Amino acid sequence: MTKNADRIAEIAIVALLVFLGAQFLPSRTPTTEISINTLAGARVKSMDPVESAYFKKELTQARLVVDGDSDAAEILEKLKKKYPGRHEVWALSARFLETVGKNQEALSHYARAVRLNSDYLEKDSPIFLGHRIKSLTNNVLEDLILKKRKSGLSPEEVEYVKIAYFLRRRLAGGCE
Amino acid sequence: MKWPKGDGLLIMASGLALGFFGAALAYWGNPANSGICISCFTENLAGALGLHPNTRMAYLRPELVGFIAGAFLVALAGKEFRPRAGRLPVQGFILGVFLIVGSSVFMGCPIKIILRLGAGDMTALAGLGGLAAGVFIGIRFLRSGLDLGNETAPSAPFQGAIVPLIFIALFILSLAIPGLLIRGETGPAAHAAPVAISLSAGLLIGALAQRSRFCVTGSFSNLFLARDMSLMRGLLILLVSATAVNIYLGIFRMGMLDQPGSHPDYLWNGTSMLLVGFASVLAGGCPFRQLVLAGEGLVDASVVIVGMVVGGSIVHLWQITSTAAGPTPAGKVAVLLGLIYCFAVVRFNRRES
Repeated sequence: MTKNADRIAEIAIVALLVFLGAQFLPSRTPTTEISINTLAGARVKSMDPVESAYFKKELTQARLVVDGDSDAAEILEKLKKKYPGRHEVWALSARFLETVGKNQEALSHYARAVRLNSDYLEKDSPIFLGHRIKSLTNNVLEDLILKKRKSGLSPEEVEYVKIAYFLRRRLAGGCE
Repeated sequence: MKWPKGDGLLIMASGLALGFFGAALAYWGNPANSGICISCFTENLAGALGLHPNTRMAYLRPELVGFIAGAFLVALAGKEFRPRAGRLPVQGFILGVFLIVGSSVFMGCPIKIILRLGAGDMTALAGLGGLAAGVFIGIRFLRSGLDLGNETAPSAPFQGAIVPLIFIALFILSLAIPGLLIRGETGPAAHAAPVAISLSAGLLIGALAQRSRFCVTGSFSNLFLARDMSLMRGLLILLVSATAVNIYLGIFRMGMLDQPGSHPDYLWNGTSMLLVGFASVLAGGCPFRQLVLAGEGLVDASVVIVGMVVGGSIVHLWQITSTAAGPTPAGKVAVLLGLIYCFAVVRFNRRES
């Protein structure tokens, strides 16, 4: 009897492990450039001094372009592809997207920047953007909740809701 | 209803102190919902020792020192300091690592589950369910015959005092030589209650827990094993007192989606805590109980604590720890490895009968 129970327990354990292992399989194609899953897996990439010098130069040029509001989108796309692990690129891109009125995309880019460097939400940090991110998060979330009540949300918009709540959890503080 | 006496009152006092200070320390400066969290504090300790590069989680928390020092001093005073060892040390060390792995994927230790619930964070319910299930599985294997060694075998007296004395010495040295240990200036490390309050709270809780034998996973295992509700009463008082203090201080916020220090992946919340519950049974107590046991001279618990500190390092070095976005792929793999390890411990420690 005990032997049978042990056998059943072992089968249950193997089934549990297989089920958990299946969670690693990709479930669906991401609908947005930044999804909650890409945020979870985002990594900071370290640079050697030469790469860092090039990066700083390119970032400064991109900042000038974004401030001048010409052809910024193309330059930022290139930077994102080249330096996906740098928070500065995502924050700059977010700022640009916000100025051109693409609030949902801006929010997801801020989320990626925050994921790579939480100092954006630290009041004492020189790169603090907490108030700006909080206000954008609340606005985007409010719009999406209204839309959900009216006509439902597309898969992309559902992803933005998740990202907005990610930022709200980060804004609420706590351990990381 | 009979009014609990002696040990019963001590257990309830332990629950009350953990609930009160767990909520109040967050109000006085500790990170939100993390007034007391053994896994967060252990990760902070690993960071303070330079064992991982995340300086946002680098600070020797006085509470952590207080828990072990309080238990150590009270055990000495009550003649309950009994150095003893007898379990399998390497096995215990790895269990210590996985206690922190599971906790970091959930984003909190078993005590923090209750504190998060007390602050209105309903995502912690998945963790509570997982923890109870993990303890149940562990107890099930214990009952079917496991030989994990004899932890009552006496050991050389100094062995049992090494880890408590190291904690106390580290704390004194960190005060005497500023800069000796790393202290993060941003993030959770920068959020801390005043040192005197943190240390006093830690000493009081450590002392009470040593007298009462309070343990979160022990509450479940006593219930499952012997239908004994005494420790569970302490756990319920912890929850009620934390809720009351949070409501009084105006920091209670009921919800699931935007809670501090949490993520909404319920499957991995539950699974990671299942690992912690299971590993706690095999290690002889939850992470908090390990500190108290080490304080009263149990060398096996000291080994588990060393494993926990190493775990606190690797969860940051290998990106195992979850973020508000959810668990990382490395975190999921680590939890699965932890479960496989626990089952291996069970498989290879069966008593021949």
